[in-house]
Amino acid sequence: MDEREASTVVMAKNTGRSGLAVEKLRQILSEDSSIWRCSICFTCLDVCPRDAEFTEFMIALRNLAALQGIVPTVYREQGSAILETGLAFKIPESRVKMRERYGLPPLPRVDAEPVRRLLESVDFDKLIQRGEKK
Amino acid sequence: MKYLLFLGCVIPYRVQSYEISARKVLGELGIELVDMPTYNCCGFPIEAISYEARLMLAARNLCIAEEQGLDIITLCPGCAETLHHTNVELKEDEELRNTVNERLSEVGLEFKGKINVKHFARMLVEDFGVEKIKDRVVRPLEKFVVAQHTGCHIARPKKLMQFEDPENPTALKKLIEATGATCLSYEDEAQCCGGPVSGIDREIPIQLVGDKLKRVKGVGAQALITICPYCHLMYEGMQPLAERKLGEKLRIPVIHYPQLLGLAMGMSPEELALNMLKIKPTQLLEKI
Repeated sequence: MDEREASTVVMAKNTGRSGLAVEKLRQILSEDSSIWRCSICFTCLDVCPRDAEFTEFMIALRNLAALQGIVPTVYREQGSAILETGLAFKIPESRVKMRERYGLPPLPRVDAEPVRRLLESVDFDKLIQRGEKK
Repeated sequence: MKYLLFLGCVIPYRVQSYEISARKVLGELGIELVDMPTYNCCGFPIEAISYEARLMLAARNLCIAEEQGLDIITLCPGCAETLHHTNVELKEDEELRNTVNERLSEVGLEFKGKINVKHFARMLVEDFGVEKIKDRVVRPLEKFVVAQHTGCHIARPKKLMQFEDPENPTALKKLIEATGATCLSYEDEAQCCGGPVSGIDREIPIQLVGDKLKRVKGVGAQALITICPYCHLMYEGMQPLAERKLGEKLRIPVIHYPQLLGLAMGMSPEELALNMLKIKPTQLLEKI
């Protein structure tokens, strides 16, 4: 198995747990999980008296969910846009043209090709594709 | 003073008023902005699903800036935090730097760790100086009574950003007061706008926006001043929905800080794209 495809089931089995533990992990890494409702404001991390890095855990759990193909639509869309254009939003041509009217310099060139290659080097394209199958 | 301007994605996509006013005002202050020759998303939006993808996206931007030999300033605190975070990680962790550099070499880049990244408001406070801003005010906004929303990522996480106390932010207050305006305090100023989670559940920011703006209105502020494109989109764009939920009118104009400063520096509302705001600050502008 691809090392990136570590599943919750494998994790649970490796720790000798099953049943409820597996089910709990599945819930935590599901699309309905509260892990996706964190706004990454870092407030909990900053105020924690024990320096527990909750925000980092939240990001790690989401990364883990994504490795199993659980990628909420908003991330799939932005991820696809970055792979295609280098930016998180597809900026309409009309918006780019309006810049001149507003006295703004042209938008810097966005070279999508090297961006896509860098993302492919960490299998980000596969992550997005796996998310699409869901 | 000369910086490389990192625009990010959301500003050119839908917050032009912020870019227009920031370029005008920073230029007028004598701060030279050089555009990135090429750039890509900072990585913030997709860190949630891939830490590694964030690393690569941010690292590429940092390498491009290093080639220009200039420090980056951003208008978006999310971009500043993400680029700074990656910069620190890569500077401090040799093993990680080697791994990332191996991948970067495939596109002809190398991270050397030669530049720094800051949000423009932090640059104004730390590098330009609040006193020098005051010297440039020709039309003190003495009748303006406003409140501030600093947002999260300019100072959080505290240990990483090492800027100000995020629970009691003062930098933006000082910048606002430099214009001659009064900046009122209100309860829980550090509350997040909910922007990063708006794509998952819109009800969260709607609730947070209504919650905060009610308190802002409650103390008698006539506008909310922001330094983040996302926070701006939440407080302005979600305000009608928050009003519906609350069953009362808020009508709080949400103004980019450079717009406020520009007014105090004698620029016209049109030059500063104040006419592009959805909630028109008509009553406020009559006070000039």
